[in-house]
Amino acid sequence: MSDKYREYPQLNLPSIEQEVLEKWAKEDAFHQSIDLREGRQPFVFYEGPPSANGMPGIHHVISRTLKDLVCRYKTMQGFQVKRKAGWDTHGLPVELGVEKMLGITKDDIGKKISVAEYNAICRKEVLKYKDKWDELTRKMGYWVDLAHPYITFENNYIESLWWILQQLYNKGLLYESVSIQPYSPAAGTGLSSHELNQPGTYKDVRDTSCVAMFKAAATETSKWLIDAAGGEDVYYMAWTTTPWTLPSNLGLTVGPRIDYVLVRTFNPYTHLPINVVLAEALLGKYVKPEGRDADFAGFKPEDKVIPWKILSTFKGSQLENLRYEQLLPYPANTAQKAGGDPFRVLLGDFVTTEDGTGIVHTAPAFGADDYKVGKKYDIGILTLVDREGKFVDGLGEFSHRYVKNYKDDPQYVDVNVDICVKLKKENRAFKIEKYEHSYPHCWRTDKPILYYPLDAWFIKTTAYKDRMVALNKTIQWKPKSTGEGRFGNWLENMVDWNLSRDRYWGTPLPVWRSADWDVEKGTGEELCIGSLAQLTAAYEAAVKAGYNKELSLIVKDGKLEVDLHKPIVDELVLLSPGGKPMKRVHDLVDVWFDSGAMPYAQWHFPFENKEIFAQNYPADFIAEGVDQTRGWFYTLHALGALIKESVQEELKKDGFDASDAHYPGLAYKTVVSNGLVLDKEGNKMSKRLGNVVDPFDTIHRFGADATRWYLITNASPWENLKFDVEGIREVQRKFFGTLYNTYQFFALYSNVDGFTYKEAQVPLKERPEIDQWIIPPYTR
Amino acid sequence: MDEYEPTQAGRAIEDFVDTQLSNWYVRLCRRRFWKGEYEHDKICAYQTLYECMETVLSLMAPIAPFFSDAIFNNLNQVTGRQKVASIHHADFPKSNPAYRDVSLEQRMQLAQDISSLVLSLRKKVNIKVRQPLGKVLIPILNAEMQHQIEKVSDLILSEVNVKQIQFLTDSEGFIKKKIKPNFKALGNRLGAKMKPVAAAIGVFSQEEISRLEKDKKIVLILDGEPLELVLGDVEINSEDIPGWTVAVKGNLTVALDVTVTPELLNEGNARELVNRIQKIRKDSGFEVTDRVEVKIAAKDTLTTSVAQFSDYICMEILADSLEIVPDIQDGTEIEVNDISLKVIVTKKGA
Repeated sequence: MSDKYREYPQLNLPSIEQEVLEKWAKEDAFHQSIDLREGRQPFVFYEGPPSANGMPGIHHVISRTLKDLVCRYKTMQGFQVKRKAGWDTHGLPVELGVEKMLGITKDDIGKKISVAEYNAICRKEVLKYKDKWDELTRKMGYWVDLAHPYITFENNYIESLWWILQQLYNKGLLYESVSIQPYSPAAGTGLSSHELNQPGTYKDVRDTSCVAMFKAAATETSKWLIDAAGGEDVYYMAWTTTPWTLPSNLGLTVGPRIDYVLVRTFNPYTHLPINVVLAEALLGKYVKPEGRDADFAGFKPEDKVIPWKILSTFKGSQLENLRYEQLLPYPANTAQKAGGDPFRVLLGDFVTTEDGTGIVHTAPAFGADDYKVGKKYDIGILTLVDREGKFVDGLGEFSHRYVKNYKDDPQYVDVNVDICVKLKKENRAFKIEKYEHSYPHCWRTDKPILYYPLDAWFIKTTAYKDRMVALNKTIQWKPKSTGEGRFGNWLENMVDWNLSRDRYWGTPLPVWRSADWDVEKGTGEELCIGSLAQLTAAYEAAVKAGYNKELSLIVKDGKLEVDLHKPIVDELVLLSPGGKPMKRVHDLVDVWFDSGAMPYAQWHFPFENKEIFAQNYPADFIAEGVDQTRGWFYTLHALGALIKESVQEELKKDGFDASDAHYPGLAYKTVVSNGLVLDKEGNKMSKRLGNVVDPFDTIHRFGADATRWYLITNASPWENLKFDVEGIREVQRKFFGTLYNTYQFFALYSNVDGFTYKEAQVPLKERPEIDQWIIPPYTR
Repeated sequence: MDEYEPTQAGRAIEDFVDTQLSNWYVRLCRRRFWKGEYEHDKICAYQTLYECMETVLSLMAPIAPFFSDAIFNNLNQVTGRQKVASIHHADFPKSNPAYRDVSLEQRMQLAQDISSLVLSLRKKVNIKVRQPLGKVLIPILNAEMQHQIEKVSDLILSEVNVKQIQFLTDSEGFIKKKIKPNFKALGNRLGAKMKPVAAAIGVFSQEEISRLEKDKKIVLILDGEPLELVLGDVEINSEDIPGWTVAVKGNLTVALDVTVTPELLNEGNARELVNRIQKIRKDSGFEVTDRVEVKIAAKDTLTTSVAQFSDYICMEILADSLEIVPDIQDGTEIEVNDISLKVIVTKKGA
C-alpha cells in the first residue's frame, strides 16, 4: 500500500512496460491469472505452433495480439484459459534451412552426411530462434505457457500422431496409391494440395509453348485420312506449355464429340506444304481468314498470308486408335520401355476447345488426366525426368539437363527452347511462342512444381467431405466470408490428402511391411503401429526371432527406448503376426499433419491427460493469419471430423460423457483469420524490398501497448493492414498521452487533497449531473 | 468483444477517453478538483474520475496489458479497492443498459454541440475563449429542447465563457437562413430534373426553410408531381447580423453576440493575466498549493482591469497580495492582450 498516487516525470511506455514485466515475472502473474480461475468454466484456446527456425516478424505480432487479447478478456470474464505454447519442428522449412546452412542438397544426405547427423542438426536448428521467439512473446505481453510447450518432434507427440494414423488406417481411411501428384524437384518431395494453395504459390510465368506436329502413321485404319490428304503426310497438331514432357509423349487425346478438320496449308517456319488435323473451333488461332482457299501454287515464303483449305471434317471419335510416329525417339523412350501399346490417338472427355488445338499431347507421367486416359488405353508410362527435375540418360542431347532452372544456375539454358528449336528444324513445329500463364510453385523453394507419378499414402478426406462441410457451417468464422468462401469452396472441391513426404526430418509413417508385400498378388503382411507399446511388442518378437541383434536398444517398463525418427525407425525390424520380418515403408508424414493433430498430441492423448483433453477439446477460439485457411485451419478441421468416433470411444472408456453435443467432431468453434501486414504503401513486406518491419525495434521504440493498440484499432484484424509507424506514434500521443494526462491530473490533485477513496462511495444519484453522465454504463 | 470485434471495442474506448472523459468531463470539471474545500462536490469529482479510469483501464487491459496494469496498480495501491495484484486478475466490467439515462445523454450531447458551435464562432471572429462574451441566442424547436438546454446551461456558459443564454421561440426575422441544393446528393437522384428543383429551392421562404429543418423533410410539387426533399438534400446556412455571428449544425442554430464591452474587456484582461501568472508559477517550479505574492507594473487600461478584478485574480493564482507598482527592475516581461508589462511572483515565506 502507498498513500500517494505515483506521478511520472513523463510518459515513457517502454519503461513502464519494463517495470510491469519485472512485476509480472516476480509475481508469476500469468500463472496466477490461470490459478485464480481454478474450477471455473474453461475457455479453450489452441496456439498454432510457429516454426522457430526463422525470426518472428511483425505479422506474428498482430495474430499474437489478437490471441492474447481474447484470452485475457475471457480470463477477466471469469473463465479459466489455459494456453500451451507449441513449436512446429518438422518438415520442409527446417530441412531446406539446414541444407542451405550446410551447403548440401537433398542428394548429399546419407552420402556426405549421415541421416543421423543430419537429423541431429535439424533437431537443433529448428529451435534456433526459440530464444528470440520467447523474447518477443515476453516483450509483447503475449501470455502463453512457454514453460510447458508441446514440441512436435518429441516422442510423446509422435506417439499420439501414430495413434491417429492407426485409427485412420483401421477405418480404411489411410491408403497407398500411385498417382500423379504435385512434386517439387527443388525440395525433392511431393506436396499436398493445401501446400499448393498457400498464398503466392500460383505465379504468372512466361513459358515457351509449342504446337508440335505428330505424323500420322499410314495404316489400314488411317487410309481414309491419308486419302483425304491426297496420299500425302498428315500431322496431328498438339499444343503444350511444357515441351520437356514431349519426349515422354505416348498418346494424343481427342474429344469424341468434337469436330476436327483436316487442313492443307504451309508450315510457317519451313514453308513446306503440310496437311494438319486440329479442332475446327480452334482453326482461327492458326490461320488467317483471308488465306482461305487462296492461291497455293503462287505461295512464296515471304508472303504474310498463308493459304489454307479444309480437306475434310470429322468427329474425334473417328480418330480413335489411329497410330502416329513418335515425335522425339531416343533409346530411353522406346515403346518397349514404355511398357504398353503407345503412340495412338485416344478419346477423352477432358479435352476442350478452349485453348490449344483440341488434341492433347498425352504424357501419362506428368498429368493426372494423362495418367488416367493412358491407363485406360494401356499406352504404358515413361518418366524421363528424375526426382531432381532433370532428364534421364538416353535422351541424346537433352540427357541430364534440368527441365527448369531449379538450381538458380546463371548459365542455365532453357531445354524447352532447345526442344522447340529442334522440332522447328525438323518441320515438326507449327507455332512456338512465349505463353503467359499462372503456374504453381513450391511454397518453400519458390521453384515451379511439376506433376509427377508418386507412390504415396493418402488420407481419404473425401470420404468425410459431407461431414466436414456440415460441421464448417457451425463454426463462427471471422470474417464470415472466409469461412463460406475461401474455406467453404476448398471443402467443396477437396481431394484426398497426400500425406507422404520423401524427406528425412519428419514424423515417420508407422507402417511396416514384409519383404514379399505385393498388393496386386495379395502377398505379404503389413502392420500399422499406433503406440510405443505395440512397437515394442513387435520389436521384441522380432528380437526373439533373431532380428535386431545389431541394434543395442533398451526396453524399459515395456517401452522401447528409441527416438521415433529416421534413421533408427527404419532399422527396426518388427515381427508380423504371421512371423515374418517387416521393415518400415520409407514415407514421412506431411508436417501439416503434425500441427493439425495438436489438439490430441499436445496432451499426449489418448495415452495420458484424458481429463485435461476432455475439458480442452474442442477449442472455443483459434486465430492465425489468413494463409492458414487452407493450412492449419484445414488440417485441424479435417482431423477433427475424421477421428470423431475414435476420440469419443477413448473418452467413453474412461467414463466421460462423449456425446455429439460435447464432441461433434469439431476442432474449433470460432476462428479468426487475420489479414496480411503490408508496408505503408500497401506492398507486401519482403526482404528483397527491404520494407520488413522488425517487431523488436517497434516495441523497443514505441512500447508493446502502443503497437498492439495500433494493430488492433487501425483496421479490423481480417483486413490487410498497411503498417505505418506514424500510426503508432499517433496512438501513443493521442490515446495513451490523453489517458496519461488524465491520470497525472488526477494523481496531482488527489495527492494534494489526500483523496484515497476512503470515503463511502457516493450513490450516483447524489452526484452532480455531469458525474452521472460520465460514469460508463457499467455496474460496480 | 464477445462478437470478436476488438477493433470496434478499441475505437469506442479511444473515443470515450478523448471526447468524453478528457475533452469534456475533465475540462469542464477541472475547477472542482483544484478549487474549494475537500467536501461533497470534490469527493464526488474524485470518485467519479477514479471510477472512470478504473473502468477504462479494465476495458482496455486485454489490448494494452502493460499500461493498464501499471496505472491500475498505482490507483489500487492507494485505495485497495480491488483485492487483486494485477488488473488481469480482476473481473471485466459488466455492462448494464438499465444504467443509462437517455435524457441526460441527450442534453449532454446538446451541451457539447452548442459549445462546439460557439467555440467555432469564436474562432471565426478571432476572439479567444479567455475573453468573456455577453450572450448566446438559441432558437428552440420545442419546449423540451429549452428545458434540456437550461439544465446544462451552466456547463455551456463556463465552457464557452459567455454570460448568458437566451432562447428564441421564433427565429424568423432575427436569424436569416440561406438555402441551396446539395448538388452531390441531389444530382445523382434527379438527373435532368436538377435544374428546376434547384430553382425551386432557391426561392424557399424562411418559413419553408424552418419547416424543412423542423420536419427534416419537405414535399415539393414540380410539374404536378410531388417530390420529397430531406435535410441532406440541401445546405442551410445563416446570414450574420451586425454584431452577431451565427452557426448551424443540423437543426441546431446558435447566434453569438460578439460585442466586447469595456466591462467584458476588463474581465478578459484579468483572465489573461491569471493565465500568464499561472505559467510563471509553473515555470518557477512552485507546488500547486504554494501561496505567492505578486507585484505588477501595469499600465493604462490594464490598471483598471487589475484593480477591478483583484480578488478574482488573487483567488485564481493563490496570491496573498497583488500590488500595482509604478515600475519593476527585474521581473518577468509578459504580454496581456498585446500590452506588455512586468511582474514579479514570489513564493510566500521564501
